[in-house]
Amino acid sequence: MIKVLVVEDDADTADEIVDEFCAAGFEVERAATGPDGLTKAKTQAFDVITLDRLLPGLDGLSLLENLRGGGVDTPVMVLSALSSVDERIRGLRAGGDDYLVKPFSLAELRTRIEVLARRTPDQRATVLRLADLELDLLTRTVRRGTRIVELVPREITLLEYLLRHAEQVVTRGMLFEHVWHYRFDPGTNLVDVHIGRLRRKIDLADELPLIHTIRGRGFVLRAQD
Amino acid sequence: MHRTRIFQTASFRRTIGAAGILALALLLMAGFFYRETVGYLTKQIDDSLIGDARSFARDDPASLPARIEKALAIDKRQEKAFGIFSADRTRLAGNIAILPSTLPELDIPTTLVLSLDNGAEKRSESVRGVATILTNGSILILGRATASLDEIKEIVARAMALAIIPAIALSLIGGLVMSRAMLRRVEAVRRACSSIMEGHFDRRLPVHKRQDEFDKLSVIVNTMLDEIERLIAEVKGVGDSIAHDLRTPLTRLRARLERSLRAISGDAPVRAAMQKSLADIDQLLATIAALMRIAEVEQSRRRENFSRVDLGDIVTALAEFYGPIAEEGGLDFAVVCQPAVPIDADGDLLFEALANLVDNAIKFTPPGGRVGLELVGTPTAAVVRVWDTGPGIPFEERGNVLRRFYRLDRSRHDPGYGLGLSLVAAIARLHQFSLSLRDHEGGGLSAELSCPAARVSNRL
Repeated sequence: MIKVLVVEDDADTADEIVDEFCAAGFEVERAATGPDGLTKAKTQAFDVITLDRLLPGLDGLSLLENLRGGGVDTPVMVLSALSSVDERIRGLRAGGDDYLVKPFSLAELRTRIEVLARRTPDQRATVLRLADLELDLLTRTVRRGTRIVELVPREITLLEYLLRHAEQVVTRGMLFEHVWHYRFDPGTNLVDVHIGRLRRKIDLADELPLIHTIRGRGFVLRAQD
Repeated sequence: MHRTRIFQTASFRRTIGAAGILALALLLMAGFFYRETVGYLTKQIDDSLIGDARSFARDDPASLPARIEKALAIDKRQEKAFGIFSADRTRLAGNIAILPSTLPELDIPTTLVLSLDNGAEKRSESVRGVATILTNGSILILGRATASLDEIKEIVARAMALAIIPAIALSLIGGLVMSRAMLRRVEAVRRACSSIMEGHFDRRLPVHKRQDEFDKLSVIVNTMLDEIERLIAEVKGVGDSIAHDLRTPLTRLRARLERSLRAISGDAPVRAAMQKSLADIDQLLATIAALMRIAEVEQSRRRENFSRVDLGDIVTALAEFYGPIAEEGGLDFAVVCQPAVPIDADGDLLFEALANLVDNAIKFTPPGGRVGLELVGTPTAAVVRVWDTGPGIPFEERGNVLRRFYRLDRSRHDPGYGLGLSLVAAIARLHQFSLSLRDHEGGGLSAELSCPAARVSNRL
């Protein structure tokens, strides 16, 4: 069970987030002020913290810096109405692991929290596998069983991200940010086209489908239907 | 400072004008001095000539030759001319060899050229002379050399030259020095202004202690800039507050709708209504986000994110991102890209601007058409061209489409908010790149983002 600390001063927003997390089966703790959030984050163990930028008592970024300075490395998702790229960069530089601009889709938030909570500790693996799909990052080759799959470089990066987050839902926004490395919203359903092309190469008609679309949330790479 | 720039300055042009006026004043003064001096000396000579002529005329004409010879004998400096001629022009006495063919008006001194004969030599000389008729009908001519007068004329001319040339030279040097100083101050103002235009709203024009008119102007402009900075901060503060205050309830609204939608299993019409509401909220939010983004870019506060980026990489990423989308839309996507074109820019913003152009090209080109993305880089310039074979934009609309919320499709059936090209224009302005829209063969549009030469680095 994922244990989340929600630090949010707006009661209604906090209620919605907590309800969504509870519905997803997370264990949720909440804090409405900066100092309260800091105390809870320092004294209890959480898998993920969602942190509002503007908080009474202690600003979100100061809280984050304090937390990181105190050696707490729990993944933090910064939530904010401050949407500019500069603000996002500030949030990430202060020690945030992800940044979501308000208003966000609850599904997007939940998906990102799941990814943060299950962050693969070992990012150094050079051969990634799922069922009979294998990606060798050193030779940049992709195999499905005995079949060699021809992918262009960007498709390999896309597949790598999906394989590193296998069994987890990833959103279109996450894919765009991590695969194309640009920070703006290009109308992210454009990512569907790329996923579609990758799917056509990975999942042939007679093979077990690995890339799945999760309606309203994103995509997942997994071996079961 | 370049010399031609100094010559173009208003202060140098004024200096030239002042030097001209100074020269004219000196000339007038010297002319006046010359006229007065020469006039006075001439009058002295003339008075003496008239006195002599009257004195000779009063004498007995028969005794005049002897008197003339005597006067000639004492004229050691040979400055005087005398001549008596009979009515039939025969020389009777004196050192004037020939009577001038036309006589001047009688008893009025005038300048004459006389042929003189002092025994040893004959010469023609210009003199002040006077002619008079004696009682016996013979003609008396008296002359006086004007050498001293000529000397005075020469002295005055030399004095004029000596005064005017250094005066003009001095005023020109002074003008150059003043122009340089002026140009330096203008340059300082220009630097401050460009820095302000680049978004450093806290920069001010330099003000010196001397409080001259330049400083007074700078103080006025600085006060104006203080006010502008305050207003911008206020507007931005209001904008941020509006955005924040709108976003918080919208976040709740969106979350509530999203969760309620998931909770409803049946009731298709209610679900459909809620889905539409969600879509409307998203559109509203996208509009707010786009407006905020344009404002943010226009305030030019983001130059700190500028770094050396490779335009080639950006165009390649764009081509990779949009290639499949063009293909899905049944379009032929032609990409021409040079491998490495390093420039100083905000890579994310540049990608966003170009993505908007490519997105538009793909969106507005009907299936079967062509879309092109070209990067042409030379050591002096880099141009990214996005063209299509779609309907294009009429010439008279090209300025309008860069305005916020302006849409060619007045019925607003096409997707979009009319903010894409405004954002591209704002990003281009921030980078000081120029954006131009022109016709592309086949009726489509060609949008060109050109990166000025100074920003292109040759270092690969």
